[in-house]
Amino acid sequence: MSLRNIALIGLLGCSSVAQAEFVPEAVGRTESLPAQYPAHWVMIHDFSFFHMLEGKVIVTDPLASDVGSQYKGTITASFTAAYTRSSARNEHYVAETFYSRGGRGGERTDVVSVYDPATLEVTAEIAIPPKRITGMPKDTMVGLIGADRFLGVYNFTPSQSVTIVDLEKRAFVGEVATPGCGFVLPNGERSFTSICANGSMLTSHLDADGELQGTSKTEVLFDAQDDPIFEGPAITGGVAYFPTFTGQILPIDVRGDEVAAGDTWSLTANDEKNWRPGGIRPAIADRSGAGYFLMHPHGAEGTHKDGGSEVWVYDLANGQRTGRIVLTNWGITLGTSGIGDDKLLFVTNTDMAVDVYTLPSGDFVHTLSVGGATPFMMRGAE
Amino acid sequence: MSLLERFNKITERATRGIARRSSRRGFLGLVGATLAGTASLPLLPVARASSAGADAAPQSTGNPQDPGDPTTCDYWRYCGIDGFLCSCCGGTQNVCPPGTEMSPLTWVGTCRNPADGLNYVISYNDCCGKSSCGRCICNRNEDDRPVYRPAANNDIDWCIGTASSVYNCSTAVILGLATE
Repeated sequence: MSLRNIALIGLLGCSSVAQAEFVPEAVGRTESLPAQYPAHWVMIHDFSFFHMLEGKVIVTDPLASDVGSQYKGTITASFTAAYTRSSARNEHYVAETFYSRGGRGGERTDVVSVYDPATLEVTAEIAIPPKRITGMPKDTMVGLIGADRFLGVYNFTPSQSVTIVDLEKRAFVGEVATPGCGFVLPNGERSFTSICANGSMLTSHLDADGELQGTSKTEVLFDAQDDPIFEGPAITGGVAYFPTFTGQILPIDVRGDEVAAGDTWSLTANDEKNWRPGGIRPAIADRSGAGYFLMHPHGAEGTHKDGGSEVWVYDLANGQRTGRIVLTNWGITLGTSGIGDDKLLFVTNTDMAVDVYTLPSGDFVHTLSVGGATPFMMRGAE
Repeated sequence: MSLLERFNKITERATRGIARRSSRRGFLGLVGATLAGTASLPLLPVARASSAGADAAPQSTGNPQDPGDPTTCDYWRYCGIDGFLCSCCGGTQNVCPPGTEMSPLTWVGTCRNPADGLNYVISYNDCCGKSSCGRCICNRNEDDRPVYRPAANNDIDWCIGTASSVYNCSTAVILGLATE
């Protein structure tokens, strides 16, 4: 046997050994997620501002250290969609818009898409009137009403109304006119409140089937021209704390069927009046009663979307500041997740990446880069 | 004043705190690439310095009574605009790009013209029916009020009353002199 043949036999031998150990991989497999997400997970809404028809909500593990483990999956959210989720029903909801010809228009179809949390597949699609508001996101563009039985969707044509969807029956119920008022702030047993252009609030009361039963309106509660409230409040303990452009807080008790305004108080001391809240979502709260406000130090007319360099923390029930978190990077919008002593603060920075901080310490953990071009809204899993 | 000088001037005043904590690359990336829309992107007054590109030659209206470069965010009549500047997208400061449709509805604000010191009523009409232009993002919020006061809000996609509500870019049309 020549040396060449010996070498050949040796190679064949190696090959057969390797072949015996090789198990072909299956094609067609798809990952799934736990039906109950860990409380610290966060849903990051990439608004996709440069490609508005391509928005998405990214299910994220913000504490995972490697890039692969951080990104858990994708929910589509077409054309400046509004996203929320129900812990009680354990579902994701996306109020979104499709055009039959994509970017150049065609027939418009608006739907509420219902997503299963484990498979991230659409389990229901509920057609709604093609009039939901499109534009920059606010967390009160949709709201869960009546112990999460109904979803309200804010419409703007520019006539204002709220579409009511029955999440149990998976059906469109009707449209509630809210003339001169906008947004969906759920209150009481089965009511929602809208903010009115003159500084008052309009409450619409639904019956057990989601039909309008009656309305009521408050007196003027704030100066809508000179010091308006932001559209999204920090909600905890049954009270919605609305910051104003200059940093006043208007508490609105939403526990009853009629909302009740509390005494206003200020985020800032007299020598801090140059500090103002600002950003896409400048106010959030957690279940412990803590409120978090994104603050900038150059407050003036027109700075209310500037974001901020610090997050100021308050015991909202007592109107007392309990801390100031100096951000690692300038922030433009806030989110939070977690429960108890294991809470996280999320701040989208000006590079459009999401900075993660622990609460209550305010310690910076790391920056997430989940591929979202414009991560404007962040919502915790619990 | 060069773009960089203007950029420095604008940001120095408003974002001193940010500058201490952000990289220059981050800032320049932001200026070149960030957004906000008819909808808005609260990008600080930083977005005022955005332009189509650092190498682009400055433009002018050719009218000394209408001073400034309509492809830059600090052009006087953009004091409340929020979105992609149509002047960078195939249109001008008051004309939509080819194939788009100007929204008949929108909000109006007032801006001061540095040429005569007078305030003018500006209508911020969006151009609609094509995907986002994506150039020259600009977000300034003088006179802007929350969405529940729609006649004074730039967060709303004002492609309303058009064949499509898909947003392409924003214009700033002078309607007339503002009365005090």
